Amino acid sequence: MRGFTAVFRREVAERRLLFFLGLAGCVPLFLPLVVPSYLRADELRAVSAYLLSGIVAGVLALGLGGSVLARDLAERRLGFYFARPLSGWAIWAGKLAAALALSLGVGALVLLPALLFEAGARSDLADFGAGRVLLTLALLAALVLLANVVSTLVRTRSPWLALDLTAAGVLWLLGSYAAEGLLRAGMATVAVTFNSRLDLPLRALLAASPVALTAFLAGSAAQVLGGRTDPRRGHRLLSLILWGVLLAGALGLVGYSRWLLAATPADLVALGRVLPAPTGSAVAVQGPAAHRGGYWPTFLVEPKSGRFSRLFPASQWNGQETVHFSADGRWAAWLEPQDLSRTGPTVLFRLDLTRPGARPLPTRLTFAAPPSLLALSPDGRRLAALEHGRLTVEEIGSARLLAAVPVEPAYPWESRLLFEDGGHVLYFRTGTVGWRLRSPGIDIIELDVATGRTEVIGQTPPVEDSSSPEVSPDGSRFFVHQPQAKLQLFRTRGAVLEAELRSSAQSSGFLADGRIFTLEAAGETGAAGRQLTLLSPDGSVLRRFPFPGAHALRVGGEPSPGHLVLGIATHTVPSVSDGLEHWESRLLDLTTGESRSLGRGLLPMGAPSAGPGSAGSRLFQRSGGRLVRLDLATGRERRVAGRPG
Amino acid sequence: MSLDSSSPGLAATAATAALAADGLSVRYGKRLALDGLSFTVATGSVYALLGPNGAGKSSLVRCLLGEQRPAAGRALLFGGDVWRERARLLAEVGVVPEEPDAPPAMDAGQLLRFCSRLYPRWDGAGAEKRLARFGVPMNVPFGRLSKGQKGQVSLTLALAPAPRLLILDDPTLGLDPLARRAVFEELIGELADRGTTVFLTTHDLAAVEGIADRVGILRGGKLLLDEELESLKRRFRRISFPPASPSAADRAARLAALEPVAVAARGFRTEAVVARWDEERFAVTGPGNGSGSGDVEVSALSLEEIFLALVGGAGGSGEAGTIGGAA
Repeated sequence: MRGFTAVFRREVAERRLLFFLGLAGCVPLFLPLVVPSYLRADELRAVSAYLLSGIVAGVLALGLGGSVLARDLAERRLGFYFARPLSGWAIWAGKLAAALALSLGVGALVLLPALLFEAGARSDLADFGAGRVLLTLALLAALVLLANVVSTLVRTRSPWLALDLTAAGVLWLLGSYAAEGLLRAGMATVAVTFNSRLDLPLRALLAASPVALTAFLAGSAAQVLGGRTDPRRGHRLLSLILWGVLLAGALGLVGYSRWLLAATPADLVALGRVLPAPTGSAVAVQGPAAHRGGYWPTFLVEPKSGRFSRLFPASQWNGQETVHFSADGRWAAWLEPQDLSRTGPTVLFRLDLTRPGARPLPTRLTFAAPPSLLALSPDGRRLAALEHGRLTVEEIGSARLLAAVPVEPAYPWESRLLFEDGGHVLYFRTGTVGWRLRSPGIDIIELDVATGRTEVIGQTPPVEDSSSPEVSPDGSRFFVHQPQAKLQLFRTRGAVLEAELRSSAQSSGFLADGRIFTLEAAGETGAAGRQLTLLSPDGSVLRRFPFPGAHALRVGGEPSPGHLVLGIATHTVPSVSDGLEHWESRLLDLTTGESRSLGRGLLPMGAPSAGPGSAGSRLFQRSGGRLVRLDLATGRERRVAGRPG
Repeated sequence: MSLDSSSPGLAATAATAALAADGLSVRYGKRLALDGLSFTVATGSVYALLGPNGAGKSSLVRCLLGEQRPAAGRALLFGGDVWRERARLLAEVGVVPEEPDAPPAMDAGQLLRFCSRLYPRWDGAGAEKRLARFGVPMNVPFGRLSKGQKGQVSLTLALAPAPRLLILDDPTLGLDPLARRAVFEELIGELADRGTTVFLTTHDLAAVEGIADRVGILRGGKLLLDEELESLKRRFRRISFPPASPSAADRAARLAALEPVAVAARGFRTEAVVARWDEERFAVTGPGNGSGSGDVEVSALSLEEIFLALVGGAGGSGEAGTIGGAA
């Protein structure tokens, strides 16, 4: 320790003039400042002091880190220390610690006057917290080490420099390969949006930072402790340890990212989103994968065969579905980012669900930014998109633009876009345009693809601000919830009000054939007893089905004509996914009103509009986040996603 | 003493010697800078290592200071492996490097203060007096001192801890004759009574002749010679005889028994340097035994002449090997 202290003191004393630089650095903070109107003078001084302090400390860390050892070695002055009774550790640590202390000390000196005279700066420091102070220290230490290592590699002029450059290239390739995986898993989006899935980049950073720091620390130490005054031997040791650790770390990161992306539907521990194709057995599933730090993979699964495709859809910020199916069930389409940083254009991918072994393929359709609304034509050959105030229809195979019209965009959360048939697109535009209420009602705009003309074919009376239209599968009708438990059913063409129901509806929707259901409380609020009401497509009540002991109901689709899958909660459940053991699924005969149990601990997962032709009406959730396909005749279950129970 | 490899005998000596090399090899890529070097320096002696440039002297010194890891063998100080125990062993060692390498921004006073914290003993007052005696300013940065002043500062830093061993790597390199003499007088004056062991590499052979107890000559990474200086000087002689006489061939043949290391024609005479001078044997087998013996001249050699004969002469241009061997 005596040796370390002697070297440390010597290095600091030799560069004591730097402290005058620190004192000089704080002078500008006391000069009259031109203060922007949105800032107070004291705030500006505090910000400037922190900024200047950071710059000074960073530059010094790089400068001193690059010279304290490497320069002595290159100029053959390190022998002065090694000819004394000083351990290699004392020389190495003493010099680098002095570089760190000097950069930190001079940086602090720049900040000192602001801390003494500006209350704002003091409170900023208090807000900064001990953790961030330590992080700053670690960052400065990393800069010192980085500069030391790079400077040593360059200054020793050893032939090993060629190996260093090669290793750096390999490291870059491995790092890019690993980063590609992490970016595909959505790391950049997660990092930028600071959402709850921050776990993933945090894990990658937590894993990579100590490895890199260890590599620099161990390499630098080995260069001095093992190489001593022999530059070539020192360089060799530094290179071997530095690149050995870094490349091993990079390989580990590559392995981690590959493993991350290798998640299968069987790795899902919960179901985030389940979207069955309207026809056929394909289903898109998204959810958190086990042990993967918040990675939510998306799969297209063929439940019968168990085959699946991994999708990397562009993140959705507007509440729209990530995967779109054609009504005939042949095509699935989705957007993937072209640039892995997920900040660039997006490309439309699609998969032919009828071809066994088909793989997702990119189309020639790209978008500068993800369109706010997308719709796939019933045959899956055309794509309608709303982007930047333009409604376009393109042929997917040829990327030919069939129609493009300017439309005033609205808030996408509340708007809908769908193909009425192959030649007409319907755009349900709510009143909110930008951040202001343009119109109190909903506009229904029809685009004739052949002529490229748009026509407002309907305009509803005022609706509640946040109402979004629920549109029937064929687009011929829609309804909206209004205040005072009012549900208004409109015919799309002309926005003709067909029915107005007094309903305390908690949930409602269309079945595959256009009939409507509503779910409501049968008794007092909060008490047991629920009721399902079935209405004809024009809104007349067909039948009511009471469920006296039910605490919640959920409609799961129509697996065969006249039969509806229902989930019934037999106890109070805080949320749908909690307390699965309290859910029982039943098959309700809509003609007789009788129902038979399909099993307990089963929750219907298919959309209510899933008809007999869709596997959605046979999809259920089991505990542990498992998605199962139930054979309604035999009661046999097949696991679609989730870990084996 | 055997010089070509480490042996149990050498190991035993090395353990008690102030300094020793035990089968020391240093390699730079394919080039062998030191080739299995073994020798010892007895406590209290002054050992001068001589050798042409590139002989491996600096590599040897770096190994002895624990700065360079040998490819094979060990460098020992006071019986300890200096690569493994460098910091502990160097507490008893003063070092004067070939090139003064102290930090250029530090002045002599700062250097003395810095080094004083590192050694168990430190004669600070003596060091300051010494620098004053040689007119070295205390407050001028080391980088601005003259070459002679830098050398004096280096020597002062080496002597101040009262070391048991002093390692001097060509300490007079680049110094003028006056400064050179001052360095060696200092060594004789200060160290003679202290019993300090001195290991010295130098090209200043005349100066070494006055202070060295033992001499080693290094060439091509191998020791050509490792011997007491007195013994060395006793066995080397220059023999001069006329070459044109009828019995010249016969004389040359007889010289072989005296181990000639260099034979050269000088005008009308032939000069030979022999490594095994023996007056009695010379009387029987030497070139003087025969007709014209009055023409033969025998003279003693200085260390420099011996060195040149071995390293620079015809006899020394052959492949490196051990010459003599008397210890």
